[in-house]
Amino acid sequence: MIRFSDIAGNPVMDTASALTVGRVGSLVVDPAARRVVALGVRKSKGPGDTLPWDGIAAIGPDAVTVDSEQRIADAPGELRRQASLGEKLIGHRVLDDHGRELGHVRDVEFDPRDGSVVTLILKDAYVDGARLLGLGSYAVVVRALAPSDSMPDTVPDRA
Amino acid sequence: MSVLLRAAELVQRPVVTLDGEDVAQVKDVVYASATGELAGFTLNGRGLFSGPMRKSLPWAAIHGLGPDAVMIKDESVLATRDALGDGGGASVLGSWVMTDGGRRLGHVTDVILAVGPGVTDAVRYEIEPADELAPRRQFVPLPDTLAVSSEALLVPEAATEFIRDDLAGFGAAVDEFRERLRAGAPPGSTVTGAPLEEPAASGTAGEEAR
Repeated sequence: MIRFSDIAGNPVMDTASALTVGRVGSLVVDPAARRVVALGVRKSKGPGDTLPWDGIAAIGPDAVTVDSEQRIADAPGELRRQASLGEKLIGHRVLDDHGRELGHVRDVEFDPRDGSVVTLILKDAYVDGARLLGLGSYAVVVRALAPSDSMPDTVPDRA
Repeated sequence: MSVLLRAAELVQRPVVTLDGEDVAQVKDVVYASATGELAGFTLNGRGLFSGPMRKSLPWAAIHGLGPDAVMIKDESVLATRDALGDGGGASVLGSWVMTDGGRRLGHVTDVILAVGPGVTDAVRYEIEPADELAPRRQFVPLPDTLAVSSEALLVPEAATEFIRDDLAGFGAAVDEFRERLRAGAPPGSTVTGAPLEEPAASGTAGEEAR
């Protein structure tokens, strides 16, 4: 599993030219698929500033690699909307579907193989990525736990 | 576990879709004139300068009612303003609470809701008592159904035994009160022609349909 904080700011390296073509700026998440569908790239030398998931060659500990800077392009349609929301993801408000605020997103843990969102990390709660319902301009909406208890959704031991 | 909530607290709370967009905020609470239940909310737009919206939020369309937001599935559940019924001042706020024994208890200042996972129920009225010596704020439990008109709102005489000054421990009192009403005729309600029975029948049907 990778956390966004592990790769934020890391260089995006073009494996053809061995040049840094940008830096990882944000995560673009599709709430319906519960997956990371792209990375937002800062200081991009490509034609745009969104790197779609299937354009990524590898996500390593020190850099994200691409086979061409052309992979970093302008996001089409729906992806563009998600990309603009992605910039707000870290720090965004989290509401459950019973209308209770759980906190704010501190970090996002995802699977580097397929991009599936594993955990949303809040100040004092871990929210399972499977509970993700929506991501909008006001809040991230997650499914409430079945018994609507007043305790935060903590996971006791997590390595 | 359910949470107690004043209806008036809901005013200005954001209305958020499950997609995470805040589409409105609660402007005012509307009560159904027939039953005194919540009919829904009128809405304001979000933001500092936005005015009232043409849309309203019917009670049945609410997905979740929490301390931080009113959740709805999406914008399509919003209805036109007229959908909330006559809407012409059908408010229970300010109405007199009268027992079927013919005693005025006070007038309604707010409605307290019990909000649990998936269920919301108006459980009591906050009243300003008619009795000058009583504490300035009292809570009257609501029976499952009751008769309401623009003039007054009728509760069984037995409700007076369950009036409390504060909300603590009130949940059990409401349950006990309703239990007793279901079990049999409340003692002391000897007034003939009490309009409780008939509206009760239709009111219950409407409530269960929700």
